[in-house]
Amino acid sequence: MVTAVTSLAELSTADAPLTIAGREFRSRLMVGTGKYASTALMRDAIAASGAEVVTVAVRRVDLDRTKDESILAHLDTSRYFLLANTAGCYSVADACRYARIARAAGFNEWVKLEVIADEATLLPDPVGVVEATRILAGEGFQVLAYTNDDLITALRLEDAGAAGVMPLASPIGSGLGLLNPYAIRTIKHRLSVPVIVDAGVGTASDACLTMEQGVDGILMNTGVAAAQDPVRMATAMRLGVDAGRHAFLAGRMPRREVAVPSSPRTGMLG
Amino acid sequence: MTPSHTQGPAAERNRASAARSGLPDSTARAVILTVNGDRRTVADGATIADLLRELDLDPRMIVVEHNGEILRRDASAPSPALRPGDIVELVHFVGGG
Repeated sequence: MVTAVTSLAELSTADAPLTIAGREFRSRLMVGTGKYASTALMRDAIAASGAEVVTVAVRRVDLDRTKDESILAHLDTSRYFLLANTAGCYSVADACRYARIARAAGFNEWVKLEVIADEATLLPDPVGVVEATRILAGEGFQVLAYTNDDLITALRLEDAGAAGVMPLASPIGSGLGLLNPYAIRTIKHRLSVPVIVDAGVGTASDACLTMEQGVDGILMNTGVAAAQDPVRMATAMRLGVDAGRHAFLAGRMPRREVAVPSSPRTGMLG
Repeated sequence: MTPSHTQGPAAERNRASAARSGLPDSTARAVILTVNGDRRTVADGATIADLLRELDLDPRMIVVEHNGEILRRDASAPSPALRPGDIVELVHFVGGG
């Protein structure tokens, strides 16, 4: 009788699934669907990213160009979990309205909640997002709340019933990378709900460094879509997220200010 | 009837004329409403379902907000009738982060 033996290599690279509101995902990378030069490029980039969660925005149908189809015409909704956002909403009422419309589309009760406060920076309104989270969580939504890299707001969002908190690495579409690793690490350390860093990741090293802080995942759009070769960048981001995750789980060596030789000091030739 | 933009002098004259005559002609019986921010007319008695058909929109791909109320996609429910001054928003998912 031969029993299945899991190799040490397999064991050492095992990871628990990302679990949000009871739903499990294998990929810790979520991607957006905006800004692609073509829908074919978008599809290929999303496939290369390995993402299971993809975000979409809620907008009016353009009645003058009715053949400009819904994004759903280009996404396999049996393969991807749709996460609608409330991007572009500057008030609690608007964000709640967009969330309810998105839910009425019938896919799920999740929302990536954005309440934006400032047009120049697209920074979130911390007061508004907490209030909207409380309202929508009370209506049965699974709220993933986009927020600053501020611990207190993140704690308030968790109290308000957020299923996950999404602090920014840096402003939306900026590609500036992880500006405050300490803040992100602290948020992850203090919250019980999953922490998904959203916005600002510009390249694979940003993704890796972000995951090394111990967060549960990353959501990005422009970092992939605005690359010269989005499909290849999607691959790089997938590998960056994986590398950062493994590095975090492995536990890095301590930093020290002195050199320590890797080779024996003894046995040198006379 | 195909919905059409009802802005412009011709439409205004038609409406004024119909109002004066009180005749039940097609213009007088048209319903003027706002769809995605634009004024449109539909035939008297038209429903949301009629509007979607006329606009060649697949109801499975959109969400309808009718006077601020989100309509449930229940095929068995009767489609609401459109009334003068109604505000209709036809919404779908587009690419975004």
